[in-house]
Amino acid sequence: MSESPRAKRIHAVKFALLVSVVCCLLITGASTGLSPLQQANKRLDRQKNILKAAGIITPDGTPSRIQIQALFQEKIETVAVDDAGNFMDPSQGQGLSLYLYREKKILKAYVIPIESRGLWGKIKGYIAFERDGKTVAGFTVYSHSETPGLGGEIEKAWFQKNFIGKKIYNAQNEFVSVSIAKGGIAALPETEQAHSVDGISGATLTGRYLTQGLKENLKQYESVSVKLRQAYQKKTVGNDMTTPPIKETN
Amino acid sequence: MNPLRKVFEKTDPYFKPPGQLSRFKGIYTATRTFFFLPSKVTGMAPHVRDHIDLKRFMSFVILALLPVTLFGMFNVGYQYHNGAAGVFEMFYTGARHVLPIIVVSYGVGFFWEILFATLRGHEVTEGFLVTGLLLPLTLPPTIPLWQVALGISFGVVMGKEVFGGTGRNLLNPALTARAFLFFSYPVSMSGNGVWRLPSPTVDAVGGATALSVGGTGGRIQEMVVDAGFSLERLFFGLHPGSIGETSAFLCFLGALFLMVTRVASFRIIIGGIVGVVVTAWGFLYLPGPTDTWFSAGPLFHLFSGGFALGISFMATDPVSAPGTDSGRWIYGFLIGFFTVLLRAVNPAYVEGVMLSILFMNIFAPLIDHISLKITAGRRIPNV
Amino acid sequence: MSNGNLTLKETFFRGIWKENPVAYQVLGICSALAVTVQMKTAIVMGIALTLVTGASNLIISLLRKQIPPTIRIIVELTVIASLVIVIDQVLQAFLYDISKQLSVFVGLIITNCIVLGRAEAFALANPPLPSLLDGLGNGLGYSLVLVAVAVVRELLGSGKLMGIAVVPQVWLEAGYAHMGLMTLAPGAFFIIGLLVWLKNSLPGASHEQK
Repeated sequence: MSESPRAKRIHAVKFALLVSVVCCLLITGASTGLSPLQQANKRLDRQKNILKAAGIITPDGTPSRIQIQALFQEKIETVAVDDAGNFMDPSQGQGLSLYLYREKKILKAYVIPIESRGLWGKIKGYIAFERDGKTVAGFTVYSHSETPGLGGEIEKAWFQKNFIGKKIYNAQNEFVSVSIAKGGIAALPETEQAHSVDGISGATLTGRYLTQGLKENLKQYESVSVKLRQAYQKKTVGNDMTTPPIKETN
Repeated sequence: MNPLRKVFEKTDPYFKPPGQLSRFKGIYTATRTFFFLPSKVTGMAPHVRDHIDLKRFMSFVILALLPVTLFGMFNVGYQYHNGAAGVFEMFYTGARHVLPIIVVSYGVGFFWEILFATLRGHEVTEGFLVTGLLLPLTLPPTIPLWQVALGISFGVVMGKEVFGGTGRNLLNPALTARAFLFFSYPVSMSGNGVWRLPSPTVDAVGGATALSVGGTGGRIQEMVVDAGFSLERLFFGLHPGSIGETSAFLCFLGALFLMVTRVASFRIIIGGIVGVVVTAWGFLYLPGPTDTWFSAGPLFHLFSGGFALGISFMATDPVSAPGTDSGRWIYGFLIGFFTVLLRAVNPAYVEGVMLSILFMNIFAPLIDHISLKITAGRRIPNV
Repeated sequence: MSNGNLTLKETFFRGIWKENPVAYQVLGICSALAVTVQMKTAIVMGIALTLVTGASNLIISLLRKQIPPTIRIIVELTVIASLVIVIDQVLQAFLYDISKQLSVFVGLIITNCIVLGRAEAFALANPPLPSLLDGLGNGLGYSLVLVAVAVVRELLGSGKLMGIAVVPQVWLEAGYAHMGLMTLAPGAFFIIGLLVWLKNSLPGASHEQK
């Protein structure tokens, strides 16, 4: 072509600008327009896992969007607690998040998010406790990268259901967490059996890391559990709406 | 004249082109050379400068593997009866479980060998005699037979035939097969329940291997001994494990035989042992956990797991090992080094030997290349 | 590469079979390993890539006389990247579970050699219609391999097809076990390798014989 180098350069700059503007508009449009839907999806996914941990939906159930939302709305309340275990207003900054499961206004269980080291990557899930503050009501894993067939078994129902009914306090009321045993728990002394679940054959390490992770996570929520347990013993939990003293946040 | 030879002489023409059965020349030649020396002497790898042919070469390896195999059978029975039975009964129990594995391994493997030999019109190679026996020795006695069949198929086809057959493979086919099984069916290949046949007299939890001990606080050596794995027991082999790996003594004896007959390279074997000893000894002086195999020390590393079997019979596979002498030293040493490294810092793969050998198999051509370069560089240029 | 002696039909089908981007050109292997554990993700990934290749080829071809040669790669990448981001956003909005499984790999379509390769090698020199067909053909060729690999991996690795268990319970009770290797990335290497082997040994498909 007979254009001068200068004209060519100007054309290039103009063209680049035009392409950038068009592309920017396209991306911004898509991103803003779809953002509410995406947020809703993330929330729904979290809600589904919390419901699973609390035992409201079965591990392999595939409830619809609407069912999940309705169940969550009806039964779960998201709260935050401060380090001392008191419920706090979410506006007062970041506390530990906690989910309360109520059935007809009576506290049934509460759900704690778990994030633990695994053998190959992070293990994320939820663990639920009954209102006595020491009995495990359910456990789910929603994200992990363990070996399928070995450590990967942590996502399976057979492994998770073993957690139900385990205590995180021993007879002396000391915090002991839940441990994943090496092999079956039948070989353990009876006092240990209440705090242990059957290990996965060939996945001793995944079990060891998850045990550590559970202990660290539960330790953080220790003050909450203590409060709930005391309240439960005084029979104040569950009969009224006094705990927690804040409004629905979700 | 030998009547058998007459039979062969009569049938020979049918199998030589343009005989009507020349398609099956491979199988025919294999049968024939089983009885009589072939008329042709090999001139290619794995035995460039020797007059013994591939079949004699491999039969020495089989001979060296025989004690290991027989002891493996005995040990499988010994573990089943927990030592509380007659020697013959224990051997019989073991053989009853181990022989089917060997038969399946040979049978399925030969099927693929013959298929490829016929399709490609080359002769059935004897390398498989060793592969077909080595694979069962690396497996736990409880392995389902269909998995053995699948494993050996993978080893022969993907480990060897896709590269063009014996002599051209990069990896040791038996270990390729084992790696396939290890990653495909981890439940049959690892854990505490698979190393011993399910037995009414011994509970399955007792079937752990020495390498799975550790990580629960304390000192590893004491923990291993407490778990029932004293050094002599590990050395002589009456403990649960893969069929052929338990007796370090017999493996090293086989290695000695192969070194003396110069079938296996002594440089690889000695290099490997040195590698394990130096690395394990070095870890003792590094800060690290005292309750894992990190601090187990040289002897425990040398006698436990599959190291003895691997370094004696698999690392020395002449096809997948380097061909230069200096390269063999480095190759052996690094196998020992990686074995201990894997056991020490990645307890997820307690058996580091398999991966170390496969890993170094891949590096063998590079090692050869570098050592040839160095040798060539040292030479005084022709004037 | 000129379009001079190819009909539209040939332009389209060439990418699907004869010059299949994965099996013949060995491009796009990274994502082919990562998303083929399940058929569902493979299909979605295949559709996403086909749309991106088709659209980018069409746009680049429309602009081909305007694009200044000095900045052509940047322009191509900008177009491709924008398309990919839009697709990624749409997936997150409408197919959240699958987008979670595909994770970064949708975003990585940007770096997929097939897209830029077709834009560079074909769209820049050809009119819009053949370019669109070429893009779609190559995208479908990639999808074909992806789905083929995924069928094998999902069937052997977890005994399912499209998430539905197809291996009868009786087999599992009889001792059948799923092949764990197939759920790991190396499993895909073997399958792709075998596919290439198979393709090359089919009569008329081998390029080695030429």
